[in-house]
Amino acid sequence: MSFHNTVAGKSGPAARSELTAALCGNPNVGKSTLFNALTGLRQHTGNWPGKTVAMAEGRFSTAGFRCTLVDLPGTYSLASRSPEEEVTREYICSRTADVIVVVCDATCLERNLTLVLQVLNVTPGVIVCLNLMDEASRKGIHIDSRALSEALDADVVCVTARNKRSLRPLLDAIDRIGDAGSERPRHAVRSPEEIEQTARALAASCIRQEEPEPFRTDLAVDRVLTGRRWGYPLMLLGLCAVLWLTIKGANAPSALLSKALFSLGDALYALFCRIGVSQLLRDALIFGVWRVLAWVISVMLPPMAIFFPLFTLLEDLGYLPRVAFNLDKPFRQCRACGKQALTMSMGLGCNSVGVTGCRIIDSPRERLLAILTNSLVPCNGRFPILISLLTVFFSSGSSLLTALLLTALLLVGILTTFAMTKLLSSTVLKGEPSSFTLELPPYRRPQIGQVIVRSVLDRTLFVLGRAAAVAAPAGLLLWMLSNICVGGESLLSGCAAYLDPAGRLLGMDGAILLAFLLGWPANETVIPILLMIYLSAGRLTDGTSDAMIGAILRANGWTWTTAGSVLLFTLMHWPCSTTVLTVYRETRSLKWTLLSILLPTGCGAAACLLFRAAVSIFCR
Amino acid sequence: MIAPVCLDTLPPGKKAVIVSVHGEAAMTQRLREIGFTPTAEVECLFRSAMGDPTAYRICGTVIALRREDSRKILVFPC
Repeated sequence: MSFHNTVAGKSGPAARSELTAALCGNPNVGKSTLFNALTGLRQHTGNWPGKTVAMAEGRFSTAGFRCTLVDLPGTYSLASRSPEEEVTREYICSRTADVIVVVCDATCLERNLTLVLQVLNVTPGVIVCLNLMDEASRKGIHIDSRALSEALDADVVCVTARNKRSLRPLLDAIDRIGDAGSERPRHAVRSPEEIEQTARALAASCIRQEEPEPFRTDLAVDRVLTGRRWGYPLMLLGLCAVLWLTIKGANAPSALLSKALFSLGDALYALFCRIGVSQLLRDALIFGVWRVLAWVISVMLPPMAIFFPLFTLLEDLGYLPRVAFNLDKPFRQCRACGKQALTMSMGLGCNSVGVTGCRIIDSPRERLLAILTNSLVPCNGRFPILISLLTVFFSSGSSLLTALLLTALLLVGILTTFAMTKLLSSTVLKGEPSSFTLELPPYRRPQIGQVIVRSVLDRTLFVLGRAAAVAAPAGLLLWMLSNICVGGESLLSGCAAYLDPAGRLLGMDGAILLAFLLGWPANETVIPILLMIYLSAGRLTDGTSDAMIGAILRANGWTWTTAGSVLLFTLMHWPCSTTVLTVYRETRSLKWTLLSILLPTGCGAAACLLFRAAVSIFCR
Repeated sequence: MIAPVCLDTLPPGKKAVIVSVHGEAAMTQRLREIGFTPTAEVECLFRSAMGDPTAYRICGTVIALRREDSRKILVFPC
């Protein structure tokens, strides 16, 4: 599968020398796609500008060289302002790379030429790589690459990054430059005005646009998707549809997995008995570690394996920037930036990823707003909790009703995001909304096969791996806590009793609060921890069916009001440990990290109190 | 002779030629990089669900601008 093998066959690896190549270009021209095609690495790609916010590195081989490939963040020019563009400029000017590949979008080459000219100004060894040639020719755009190459005095190659076979000319060009060695930039230093004029003149002489003009279908679709009448309803409908498919599709595989894993656990237990593992150890391993792990996998894996690909499809299609476009006005009214809608959507997958994604927002103030409010939308780790509770207590098993309720709950989260953004920007983060430009990329047909492989392999397994890595030791810890007794009471129930007053105040109980605290490293583990506390035997029931969860919870005094409080608290409480670390990494400030914990927790507590008050007033 | 107007008054479906770009340096530079330069042709495409921002075609791409920003761009309607 890797490109390595297909090209490397020609000469022995010993004959090759090392070379560093870097990809740069405007945002959303397909740098990451090209990077993946060359290196076989799975850098996450998506159809929206600003996808790559940090440098990625990979390796590949040409006929003559072993290359290290660096994927630089997108930039419109080298006269950069935002920190990520700074990274790109410094990297290029430092001449660390032997070859700079400037990736251009062939469908809008004129704009890309400015960057090409600027890069040619400062460094030798430039290859101009015209990507999306297939899309361009579909749109009736013809580019005379030979004339362009002569005018620029640089190598110009045409590729379609999605099609690996089309990359051959690029590899050959890298070889040519590698052989020729480094030299001074071939171009005299030009002023910004000169560069602009040259870009325009080049575009006029090398690009031919066939009539009729492109974009007409895109335009018609956009008029509906962002229209006054259908824009918002379609956004909601899309969200609801994704959630419904996730819930509906996850039911059967979830049950299957749970059955398989739990019976495997029983078999393992029997095996341990036979080979004489001590009672204590086998109890700890099977009832502690294995069952929590089995629980997390069977409840988490199916919804993630469905949600992530669906979400990636929307991303690949190019729908997300339209969401940002539609939501810019409300965000601006909260003195924030429409791009926060993008980071919010990423938060649906994983809040930690959402927080990192906030780098696409240029203004530091608006970026902080987006970071602090990101965990107010539930991530994939919290969906299963919400889905289980909604199914057991509110929708009596109907997937459609669960999806509708979940959408409503998400709306509560989104509205709170708006409210908190507004609150923050009128208190600690005062300021006016900054200027903003948002590119709406053309719709692209998603690469369905790749989407499924990538999202299952990378995201699903990655997130699941993290959850499992936390769940296994958590299972052991829980088993110990519930089996170490002080004064006739297990440590676990002791802690739960201690937290009980606080829990009751919020309409829950001490056990629930303890489960949320212990589930801090991974929210996926909250429900299994809770069940373990309730069952106090220190062992999880075998099975994960909703009916069983419902029976245990009801036996411990749960009513629909308890479930309502827990739903609200799941939606809004402290972000998981990974997210908190990410917030610290992004802000480098204890103060903001602390606020990112307190803010959603405060919202959750307030929501629970309000809910309790409302219930006691209206439902006597 | 036609007088130049602000870009935000250009209705969807209409084209115009850019005369000048005003405002603070950082934003004018960003707009210039994207292609909003004098003599470039711009077309107003559609407005968002809430009427603002508006999508424009410039240099072969679709870029959304808020009203405050597009107000600072002077154009000759075609």
